[in-house]
Amino acid sequence: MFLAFLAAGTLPSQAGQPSEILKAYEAARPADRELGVFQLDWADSFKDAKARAARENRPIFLVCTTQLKDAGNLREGHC
Amino acid sequence: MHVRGSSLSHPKVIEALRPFIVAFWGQANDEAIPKDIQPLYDASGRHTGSNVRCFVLDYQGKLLHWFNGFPGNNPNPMRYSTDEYATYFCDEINRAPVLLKVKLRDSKLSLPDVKNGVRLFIRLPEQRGSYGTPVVEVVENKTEWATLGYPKTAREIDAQSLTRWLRLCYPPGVNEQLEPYQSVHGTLTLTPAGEHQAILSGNIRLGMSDVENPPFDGTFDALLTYNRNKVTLRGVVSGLYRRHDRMHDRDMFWRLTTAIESRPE
Repeated sequence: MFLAFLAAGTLPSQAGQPSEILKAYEAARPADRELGVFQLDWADSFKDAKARAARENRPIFLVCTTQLKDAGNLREGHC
Repeated sequence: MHVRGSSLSHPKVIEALRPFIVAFWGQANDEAIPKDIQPLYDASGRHTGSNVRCFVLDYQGKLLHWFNGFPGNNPNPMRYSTDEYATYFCDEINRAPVLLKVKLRDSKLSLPDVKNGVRLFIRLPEQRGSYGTPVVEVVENKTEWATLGYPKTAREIDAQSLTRWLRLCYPPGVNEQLEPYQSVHGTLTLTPAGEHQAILSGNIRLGMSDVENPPFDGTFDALLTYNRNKVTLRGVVSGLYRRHDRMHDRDMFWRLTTAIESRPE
């Protein structure tokens, strides 16, 4: 059963020449325009945001989620 | 997930948030709302239409304005387009009486990073909207570089030795999987490809402990470059992520890729 998964449902490996792997990596890596959420000035926590806001004289935008099993990480994306 | 992919990633919202420091708090397992956040919920009331709430605060942490994370009254977040989300967010942000003389910061890209490890870009390349927004994770390496030392001859690498990377290769916003994979299986081969390079390649299976979450079967291919004491890696995990649509009782297969790059550059 362990070996069966090797044949079922897997896409062809890109292994072979280094150039083929680099090409696959570049195709999979998002362009900067797709990573816009990382242009925001993220604080590590609400506590950190408040400290920085007072120091830098800037407002805070806080997003909160409730009623979920896991807290998630809105910045990184697993949420 | 929809807020991140449709609102916080939109150029209009990014521009509207230039003056702001952005923060996030997520409740896990009905834990108590922190003491410094509870007053914000008290001021904004109990019922707002969704479990996502946005607060605009001044530089002293005083609440200026709040709004529901989803536009309109439709409880289905998929009902709204990315542009509808963005317009809604901009309108609400601009309603807050923020001081006009706030210094605007440059909107430069700042990705998560580590001193010595890898960065992963996980995505569903054929999905649109919020599901198509990439996830970026980082891992500070421990024994991984030693495991992947230059091979004078081809040798096998147990995929379990790269668990700390591979467990993160799961998509965003899928309610059935909200945590990393719990098992990693597979045998990879590390083969020399010249005096200073090697290719790592093989099939992997990533799994969860419960039977409701099917395993992910994919391939992992990477090019390693060895330069004195430093290793550079560029690789891709690729496969079909199987998601069971409970509403329609059917399986969907979404192509999932993870680009992995060593850090620092």
